[in-house]
Amino acid sequence: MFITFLHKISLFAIAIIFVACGDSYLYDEDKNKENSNVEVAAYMLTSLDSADVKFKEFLIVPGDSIIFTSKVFPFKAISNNRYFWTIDGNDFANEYTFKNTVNEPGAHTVAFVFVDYFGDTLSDTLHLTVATPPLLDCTNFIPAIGTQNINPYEFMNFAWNAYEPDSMWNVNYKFYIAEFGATKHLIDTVLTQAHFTYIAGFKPLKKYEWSVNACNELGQCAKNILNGNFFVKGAVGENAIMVKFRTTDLSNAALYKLNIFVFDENDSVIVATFTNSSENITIGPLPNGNYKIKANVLDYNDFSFNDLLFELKGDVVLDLGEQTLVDSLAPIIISELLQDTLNVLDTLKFLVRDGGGKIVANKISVQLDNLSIIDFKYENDTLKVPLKDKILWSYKIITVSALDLSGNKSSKNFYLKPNSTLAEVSSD
Amino acid sequence: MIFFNWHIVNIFNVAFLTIAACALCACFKIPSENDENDKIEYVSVIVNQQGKVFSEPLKINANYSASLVAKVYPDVHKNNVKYFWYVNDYVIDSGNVYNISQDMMLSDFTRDSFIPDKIVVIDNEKNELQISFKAIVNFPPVISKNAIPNNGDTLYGNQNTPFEFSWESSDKNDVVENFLIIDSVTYSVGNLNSVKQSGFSPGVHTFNVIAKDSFGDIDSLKTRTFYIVSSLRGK
Repeated sequence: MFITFLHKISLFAIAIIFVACGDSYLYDEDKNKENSNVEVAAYMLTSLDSADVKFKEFLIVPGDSIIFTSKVFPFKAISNNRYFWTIDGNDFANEYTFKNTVNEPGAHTVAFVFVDYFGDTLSDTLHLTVATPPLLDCTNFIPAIGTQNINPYEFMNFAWNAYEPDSMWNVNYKFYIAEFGATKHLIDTVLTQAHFTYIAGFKPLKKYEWSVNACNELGQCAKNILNGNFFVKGAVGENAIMVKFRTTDLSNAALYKLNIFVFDENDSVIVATFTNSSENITIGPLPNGNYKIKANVLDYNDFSFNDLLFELKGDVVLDLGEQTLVDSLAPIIISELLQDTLNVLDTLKFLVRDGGGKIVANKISVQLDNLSIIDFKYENDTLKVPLKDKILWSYKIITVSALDLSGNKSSKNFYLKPNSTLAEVSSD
Repeated sequence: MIFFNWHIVNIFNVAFLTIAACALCACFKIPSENDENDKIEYVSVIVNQQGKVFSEPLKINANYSASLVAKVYPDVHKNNVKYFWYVNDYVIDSGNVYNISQDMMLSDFTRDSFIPDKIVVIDNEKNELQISFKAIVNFPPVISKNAIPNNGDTLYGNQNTPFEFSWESSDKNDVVENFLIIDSVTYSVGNLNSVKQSGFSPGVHTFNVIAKDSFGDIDSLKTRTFYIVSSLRGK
């Protein structure tokens, strides 16, 4: 009996111990399932904005900061042993998310390593490239900017200096040559060396432009682009001038036709030609000597141009740059009957005209006793202003103002003659 | 008495034998720590050419004869060892100096046949040390003195006049990269041998060219001075 009692006590005690020990010794299918599905992912971000794009590969320049972030699936709070980041196998950080920079140029492998509760190691890797863009000397190059007398029939060598600070990456040079002002390039190529020989020749008495852009194999390009130009000579004793005319037309919308005259030392016209405003024009060949150039705008006499004197020597193409024809005359405003005192009519008509381009309606304003009239019409230099008050018992001032395309403003006051008396108006 | 005398004789014999044994022991060659230090520790090869010595890299100017000199360390062993020069595992000469004539450097074939790539050093105890090496035989680049402008030339023009700079650089066995230096500004002009440059103000200017091959050997002009005199200016 006593033995039986002891046996029961023992079983009870064992049962208590089992309960007290919990169920951690038992196989928990759910927990194991949870852990077996753990995954990790690492990304790089340029900002902590959640909408930002995540990168597995990224390129930075030394000194740039980037955010490294990680995700643990299903959630970070899952039992873990430890987690850390490495870069090229070396310790990097011990946080889930951190911001850092890498200054060492080269291709780096960044890994996020997560060791879970069971000692399993999970990791994800990122590829970070640190590189410095090439440097291009845009001051010293061959030929120097503005070089004259290039032989049109000889090969021509171009050379420039570039520096790759990391001494790691191949540098390519995007190179082109084009006739000045032309949209089509004579040559447009990518080079691996910092020099080029052009053998196809040039047109005499022309200006050419050339350009170099240096980029490394990672697509990083030098901050500055080299832009050079040179001038090709003609026959012995031949010169040319290059010039571009523009007007003071601020709208830049109109294309003006220009007459160009070149006078020699005897004041004789030796060249008469046409061009459009804002177009480059080359005039030549011209022998050595002193010259004068005159220009005017066809149909728009308000534009004037001060004679430009120049001297040609040494078989050059002289770049006269951009020359401006100036309109300093304001628009003309007159009434239909050429009078300043006007009778009251349903519609008043004015002539508003400018010799420096067509005036646009929104540059015209009309005021009657300081009140704006906005329902006027302007067409073919004629301004039509409707009058609402058909009966006036006193003089009123109507002011018409116009602004031409060069910014010259004209304002004219006209007087509306009364067509009634105060008594008549009052009696009405 | 006789016994006593015999005893004395025995004592002398024992003493004699002891001294003889000691003497013999002193003559035996017993390896010691000092012996280990007396071994040749390493061997190296240097190039001796025109009174100049080159160690790694072993560069030889193919325009002049040269010598390969084997050096052992410690230096005290240099006369007590034998030196054997090898090409492709065949002994071609012995002695600590191997002379290379210009003829041996004329072509790849002669270079591969006559210029050693290994030395084996053997001491009197048949201990052997060997090293492999690569002698770099190179014809350095050459710049002709026929360059333009000449030293002291006066050139006429203005800021935009292009002046020709030309030179002749060559290399018998390599590609040359030229560096043009005008007024201390260096232009890497690759294999170009002439350029036209402008932008010179009136006055004194300098010009030089350095030719460099892939072995790092260079040749250069003596820096030249030229003068720009202003003329022909368009206004």
